[in-house]
Amino acid sequence: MSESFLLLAAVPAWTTWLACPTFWGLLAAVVGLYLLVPPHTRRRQVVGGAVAWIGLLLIIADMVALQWPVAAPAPHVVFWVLAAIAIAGGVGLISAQSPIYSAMWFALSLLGVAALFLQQDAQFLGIATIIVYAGAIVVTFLFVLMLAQPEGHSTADRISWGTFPKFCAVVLAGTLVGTVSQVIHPPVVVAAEAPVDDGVAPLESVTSKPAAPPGSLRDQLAEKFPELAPRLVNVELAQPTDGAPQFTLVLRDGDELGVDPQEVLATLEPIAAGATLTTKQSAHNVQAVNHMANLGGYLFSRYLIAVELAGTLLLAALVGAVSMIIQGRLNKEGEAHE
Amino acid sequence: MSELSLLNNTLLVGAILFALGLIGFITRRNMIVMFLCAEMMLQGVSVSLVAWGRYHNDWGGQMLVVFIIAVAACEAAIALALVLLLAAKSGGLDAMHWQSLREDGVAPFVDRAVPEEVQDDPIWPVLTRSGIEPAHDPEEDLHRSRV
Repeated sequence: MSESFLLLAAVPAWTTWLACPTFWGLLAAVVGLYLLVPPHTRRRQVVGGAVAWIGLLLIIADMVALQWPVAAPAPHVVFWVLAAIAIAGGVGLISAQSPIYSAMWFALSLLGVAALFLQQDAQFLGIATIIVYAGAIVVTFLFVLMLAQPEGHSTADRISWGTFPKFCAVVLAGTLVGTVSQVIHPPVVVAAEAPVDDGVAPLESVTSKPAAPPGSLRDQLAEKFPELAPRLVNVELAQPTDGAPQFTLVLRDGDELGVDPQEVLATLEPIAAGATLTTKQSAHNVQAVNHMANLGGYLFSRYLIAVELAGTLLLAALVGAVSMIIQGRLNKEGEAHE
Repeated sequence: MSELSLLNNTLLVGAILFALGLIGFITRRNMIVMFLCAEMMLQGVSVSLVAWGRYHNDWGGQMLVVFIIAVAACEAAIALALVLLLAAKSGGLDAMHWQSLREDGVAPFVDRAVPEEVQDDPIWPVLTRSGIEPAHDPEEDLHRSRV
């Protein structure tokens, strides 16, 4: 295929798609979301919600199946439950008829996202999301809703722009998620067996499950020593031309190795024979125990100018919002006088 | 959960959140719901950024999310002031009121059919109108002491 068709060449064949559960899950989710967005009727909501959730569960099941077997299932379960909460909030946001309910669903989604941040050891962002978004922004949205639309809902909330924009929106969204999922787990086409010349074109034998990717050294060690996994940041391998190769286990700030170095070396033996092992503490470590101190240190040293700019932006937004409201009030008074 | 599968799962969830916000922004007509959907897209991006930062063991991802939160706060302040003014001018939050801003030669958008209100879901939250004095019940004033 010529180079101008590179993008097209990256798209797998139809048969590969048909064997991929994620494709069917996406299709179901797109159909369900199409039914869920306005105009609302009770039946469309029930059917659309059911179909969208079936599709979503299919996608999740495919992701889990592709990563199977897992050493510790508990983090996976927690992750997908939190993700389902966040996604349920998002679905509720776009399908709720009343904007008040939309804001409430959005707050639920924020709680899910904050919990995902916490699961990834981003404690500050998790708390900041709850305080700033759920605590301040959503409440401000509710205030404005009360001021602008006190009756709670209007005709415009029950209709959309028509069929074509809705269709475009769900197809665009489905394509986006499909592209990301394809990049994450590229469908692997297993080479067809030697064709048998019986006059029938051989079907490609396909599978959506790729061969297990060779995990990083860190992941290999984490599988072998589960108690080491949370403390181990990285494994570096230095292979000097003169002398034995050396593994360096980068540990979380303030943590000890805690396992027998000989066992670790025995695990790493197939990669580099006769290696030695050292440990060191990580300097730039997003999973450090003293998370807040590190984050604050970075924020106010390397990103100091950006912090100042953000402060200026906040001030400008404040002044802008106030001046807009004042100007609107002056205009209204001017009209009243005329 | 290994770092790679955590990254993969989180990227997928981020993409789904972004896609949901995208659908809502295009299909909903209430200006406030449209802004909520824009915030939803920001959430999807934030989730992905934190995952990348963790995978590469770099603070840049979390720093960007800190600034996303700051910019989202600014955006909410400006947007809500604007929405309030627009709603006061047009008498509603429907974005269709502002279709006179469209280009010359583009046909106006006309609603074909407004569906009946869903009758079997009569419980709507009733909001007290803020900023004005509530109606007084004269009977209540009689049997209440000075408040």
